[in-house]
Amino acid sequence: MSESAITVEGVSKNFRIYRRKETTLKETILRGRRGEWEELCAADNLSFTVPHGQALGVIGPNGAGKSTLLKMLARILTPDDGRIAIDGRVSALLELGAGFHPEYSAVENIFLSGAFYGMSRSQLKPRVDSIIEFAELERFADNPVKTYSSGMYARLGFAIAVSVEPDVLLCDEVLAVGDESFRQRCYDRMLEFRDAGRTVVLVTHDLGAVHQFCDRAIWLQRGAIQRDGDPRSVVRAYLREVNAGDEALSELSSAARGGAAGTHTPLNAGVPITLHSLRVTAADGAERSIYENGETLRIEVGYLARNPVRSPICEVEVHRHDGTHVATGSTFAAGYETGDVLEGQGRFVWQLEDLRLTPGTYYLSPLLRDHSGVHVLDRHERWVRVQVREGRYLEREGCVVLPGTWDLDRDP
Amino acid sequence: MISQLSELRGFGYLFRNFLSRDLSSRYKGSLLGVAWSLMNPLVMMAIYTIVFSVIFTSKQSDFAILLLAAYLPFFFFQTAVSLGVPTLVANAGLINKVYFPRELLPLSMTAASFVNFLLTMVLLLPVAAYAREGVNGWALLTLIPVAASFFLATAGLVMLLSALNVYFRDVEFLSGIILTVLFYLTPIVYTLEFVGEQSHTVELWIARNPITPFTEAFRSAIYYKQVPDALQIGECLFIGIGGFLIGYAVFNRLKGRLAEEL
Repeated sequence: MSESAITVEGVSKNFRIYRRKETTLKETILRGRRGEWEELCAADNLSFTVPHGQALGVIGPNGAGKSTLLKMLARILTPDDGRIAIDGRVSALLELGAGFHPEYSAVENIFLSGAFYGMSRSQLKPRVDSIIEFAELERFADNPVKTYSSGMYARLGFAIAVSVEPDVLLCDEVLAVGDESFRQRCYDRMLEFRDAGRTVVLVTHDLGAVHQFCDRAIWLQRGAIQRDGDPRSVVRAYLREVNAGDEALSELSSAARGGAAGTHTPLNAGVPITLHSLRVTAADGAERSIYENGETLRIEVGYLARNPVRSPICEVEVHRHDGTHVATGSTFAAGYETGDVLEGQGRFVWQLEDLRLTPGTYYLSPLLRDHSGVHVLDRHERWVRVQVREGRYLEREGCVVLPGTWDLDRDP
Repeated sequence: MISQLSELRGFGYLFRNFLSRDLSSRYKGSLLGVAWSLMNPLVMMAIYTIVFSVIFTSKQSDFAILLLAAYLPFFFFQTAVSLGVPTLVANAGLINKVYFPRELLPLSMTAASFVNFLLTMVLLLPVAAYAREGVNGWALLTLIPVAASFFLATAGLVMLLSALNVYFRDVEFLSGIILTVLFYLTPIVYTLEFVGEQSHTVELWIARNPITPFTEAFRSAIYYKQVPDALQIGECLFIGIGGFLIGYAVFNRLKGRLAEEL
């Protein structure tokens, strides 16, 4: 076994974006070349190694070359330059239902898919039941997969990919279509994997997942590594870059409203007050990451004040995993006067009596403003991830459950 | 190339999957299923027998056997090329999404045509034994390396053309025309000796056609009941191994960019 599971050395990949493509011999001979193209650089001299037993998250905007990198690791694309070496068996989940035959049943597709991973029928046979069980497809095992929903495709694909016992698992955003409980089990399985000394590479836009499940993150930008290291700092740097555009916009609009232009996010040491923790607990005081709707939640935002601060405003933004801004809790809007905060530590507590969110994954982002509400003193994007399951409310669509009653009025 | 070939060993099960798909999927949903793949050569057998022995009353005795002994190997070559050349383009979805040794696709299509060929041979031999009053066992045994070489040469050509077809879709149509021409440039509906009586130059050119040694070997073993001479068998082996190596080498050069060109 070599030292690292994945070695990438000076890998470059350019795509030809054809303005006009000649796919016939006549045109090629007449023009002397195959169309006109522009080179698009999807990987620019990338080098990194991934040791055994590491979970690596790859993030970056669309078109940064994340999927190209993954396809090169999976040997679907060949680099133009450089070398990629992988130690052991690779299994790759790049696209939904890749390698499935739509007319085959789930069981037949397990054999077909397994064959693509270089497995034999006798090696696959003992795994069929556990794959079907993990994918929760017992009732549909004999139906052709063309009748499956995208979630079922994803479940089957993931279940097969992890069952062939790969040394390296490559995942590209496919989990996004699964439901919450399946995603959770996928992540659990990935962690088991990593703990067993195997390697996971996850390409995703779910920054919370990178935070929570990866040991390391790489931020790709235009085919090059922008930042590589601890997931927390990489994600934060990435978000700062992404949000730089947004904040410039909000400054503009607040200036237009006649307010003072905000000096934003002063994260330096000169800040009088910083937020240092966010705790979510149930009514009994237990810190959990999964709640049922209808439950009572206590959200505690811990602060450290170096100087006294005059009536700051504390806010907690709630975002769904897809980025939808669901709600913001604010001391100001709630009419709560924080008063002057003295030096030292303390907590802002937001008590939610009745959690009216539909099942899903939500992220909490605490924010502290000065008394005017214009200046942001400190903020943390997507700091804590909370999962909501079905409890008191049966609504599954949308984000929130609105209070209300139904009645039927008949015209006489 | 050695490392590529050794990688293939791990994908035996996938190859069998492809092979059974190529053998049966074309006929999926039809009543006779795989039997359809034998229909074409069987009908050809019937037509040629009727046309040449009843209508033209050919001087050559048992003309149908003479013809089929060469036509069936050619028919294998023809189906392998015409079905194998588009196989990479037809499986673009797979090539773009999953990794597997890409050569499995043209190889399995060639193998599927070869399986059909062996079945038609099994049908031909008893008929030939009846019409020609027996078979020469030794001659038939020499056909095993000849058939194997023919398979290798065809597989090499199919790999080469299927990869080229990804870059130039003309290859598919061009190869269809060339196959038709090749049919008449191969001694199938005539014998090499017959051409030699007319023009020695033409005979030489037809003998240079790389398919000729194979069809001639089959014809000599099945129709004339003679063991093909060593030179002829050597020629077949040379073309078979050489054709496969060249085809595979070109394929390996081209396969790197397959996914992005598709």
